[in-house]
Amino acid sequence: MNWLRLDYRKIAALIFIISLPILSLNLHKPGENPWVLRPFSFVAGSIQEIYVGFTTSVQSTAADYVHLVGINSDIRKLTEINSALQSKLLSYDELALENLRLRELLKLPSKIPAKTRVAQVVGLDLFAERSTLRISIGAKDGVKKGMAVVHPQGVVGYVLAANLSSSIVLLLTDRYAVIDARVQRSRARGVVKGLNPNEAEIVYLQRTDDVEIGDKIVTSGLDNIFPSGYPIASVETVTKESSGITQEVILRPMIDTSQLEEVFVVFDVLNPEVEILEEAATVSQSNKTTLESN
Amino acid sequence: MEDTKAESINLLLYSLLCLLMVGVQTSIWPRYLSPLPAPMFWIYPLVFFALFHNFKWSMFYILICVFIMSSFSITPLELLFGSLILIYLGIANLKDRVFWRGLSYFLLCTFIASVGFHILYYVLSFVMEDTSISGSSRGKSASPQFFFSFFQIITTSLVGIIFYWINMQIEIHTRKFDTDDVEGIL
Repeated sequence: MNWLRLDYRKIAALIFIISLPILSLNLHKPGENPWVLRPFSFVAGSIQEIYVGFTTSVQSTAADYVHLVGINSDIRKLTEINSALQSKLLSYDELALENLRLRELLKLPSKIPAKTRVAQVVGLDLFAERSTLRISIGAKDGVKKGMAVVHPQGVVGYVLAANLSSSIVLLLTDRYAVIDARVQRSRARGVVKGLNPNEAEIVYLQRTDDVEIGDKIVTSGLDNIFPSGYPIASVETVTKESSGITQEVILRPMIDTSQLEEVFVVFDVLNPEVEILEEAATVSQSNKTTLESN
Repeated sequence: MEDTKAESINLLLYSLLCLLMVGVQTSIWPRYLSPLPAPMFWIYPLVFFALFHNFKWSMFYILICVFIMSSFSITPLELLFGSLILIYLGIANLKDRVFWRGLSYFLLCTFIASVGFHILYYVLSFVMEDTSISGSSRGKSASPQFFFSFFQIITTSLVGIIFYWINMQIEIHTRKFDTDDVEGIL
């Protein structure tokens, strides 16, 4: 009868074992760490930070060692000095590039009407189907869920979960990521949604909205998470179906998320547009209260 | 009692190896070998448990492995549990029907597990998630990930040669495993 040669007792035990953790651990909101997983997350963050620190120091030690090899040989001394100088020149080039990158990063705070904090990228998501990364600052540094994460070139994503000393950032290319946005030229409003590691799309754009290939998509700032007018992506393709009220617009993100080393976390962003809207809402509320009391 | 102690140490070592290697997969590998997809380092102990360990200890390993993996990814737990359990059952059932000793069998199982994981992840994502991989938008996400998965299966199978030896060392030193198996015939 049992032609598949299955052990039913094993299967029953298996179902029991699987159901317990799934039931208990999944009774939490998405993006929040259940208490059982917190130690694992802490260890994961620590391991990634150790790896990054270790590889950086190994790189610099190896570079130093290369300079010292053959130093005892008098005959090769001059060649060695020459090599050392050449490699130093190379390291200066590297330093110059790093300097340039850091200068770019330093320019950023003046671009954003909010407090920002720089963070190092310490790891990527285990699966390619998920676009997240782990950064080196967490709840103890004031990072909270939902904070914007940007780079001088454009939007990176937002904080999905803040652990004690590290945080998980949901990249704008993740299929769960959504960011309120505008077409910079025509001011048409839509929502940017992740597709895959290289692409995103802007949805809810009306069929009549003016959007062209090459247009820049920027943050609207109305979510009060991102600073308004910050670049997200550029339009790659525009497709209008023969029917329907919207159009399909595929975007190419401004930044290559796989190459990120440092990012900025945006604290307490205040956009003028939102401030005006909030003030208007307060005035309207107080007028309503006055009318009601009269 | 002696067996339980040996199995516990064995489980601990495999869990530690899994933790360290998943760290490498998400941190060091993308930094220095970025265009090449990182092998699924967590899959080797899973295959070993399916081949050489009993049901109870395998379930313990799967449980720990899922917790470790979920701390390095935002993948839902049920999806990870589902995938790993089904891979385990698949390999364990294959072993009941066809089995020979050595590296070649381990590599075959690793290959099957790698292919199986990518298929299961896709299918379970479709079943369990609100925004599944296949349903993200007009199939736009499928093509680039297909190539990534393809190369990841290849790298996972190739790196399996090293991990066969590492896992065998753990087995030999913790459970007095039959050393003939180390030699293996490719």
